[in-house]
Amino acid sequence: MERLRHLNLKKTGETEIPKGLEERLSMKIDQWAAEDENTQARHTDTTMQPGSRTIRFRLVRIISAAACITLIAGFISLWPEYRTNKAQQDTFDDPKLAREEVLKAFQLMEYSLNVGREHLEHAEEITNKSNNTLYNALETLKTLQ
Amino acid sequence: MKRIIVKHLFSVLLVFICTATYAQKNPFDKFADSENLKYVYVSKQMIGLVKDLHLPNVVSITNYHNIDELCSIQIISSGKGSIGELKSEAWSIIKKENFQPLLQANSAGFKTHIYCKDDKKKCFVVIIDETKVEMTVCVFTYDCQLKDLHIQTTTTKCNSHQ
Repeated sequence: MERLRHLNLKKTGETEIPKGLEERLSMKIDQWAAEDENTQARHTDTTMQPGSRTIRFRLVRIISAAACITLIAGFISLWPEYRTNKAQQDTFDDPKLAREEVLKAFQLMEYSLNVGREHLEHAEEITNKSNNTLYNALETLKTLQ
Repeated sequence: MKRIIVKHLFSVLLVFICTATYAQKNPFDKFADSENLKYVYVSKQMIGLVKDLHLPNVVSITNYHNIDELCSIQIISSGKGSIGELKSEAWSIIKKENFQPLLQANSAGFKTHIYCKDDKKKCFVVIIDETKVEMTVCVFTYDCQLKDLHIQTTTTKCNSHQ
């Protein structure tokens, strides 16, 4: 407060203002305003240009989201709880009924194999007969010699 | 940008390849949806229950036809008038999947065919019993290769056409 009393307020009004200060200040203010406008214009131009960084990042996000969804869908499809194959579900719940069908299937297999075996036995008989006749013929040739 | 897209596409392709390789099915599964044919499926779990089921005066099937290696049994039989459908589709599957013939016999009007196929860790044995009126296709799926099978049969004749 004491320092303020020492100040000569009357003299402050008498300080000299340099010439052209106001003009220079106004020019500077105009320059700053123009620069601000330019930066704003550049910012709006960059956001509207196709292939700009922001649009590219958006595309990458969309593609990655789609890929994640397909991956999840793929894993869910592989999850066995969610897969129901109607053809590989038991036809019968009662083991006794299933047993009858299993026995029928085994009997069919046995029958089929036995049919083949009969034909093989028949073929074996024929070959044995032919071998015996050949052997007998050779024996008679030996005796003749 | 391109690398990121390529990475994502590669991951998607990998998922689809996994689903494709996992989607190996029995070619005879399609008969399950047929309305004119009789389709019976017995799974390994049910075969295990049947194996442990001991009924009086009934033949036991504990050590019968490699039952421990048996994965599933499918029995497809035609009804009256549907033999044509089963015949054409069954033979087309056998030709397409390259089943190898084991036995073909024809006796008293009954045609019997046995085909087999090794598929990685499993093998399929298909028995086709055919007459003029009806047809039965029996598919046995084993958890082993054909060379490891030792099918035992009895010497008595079994009449499966009753």
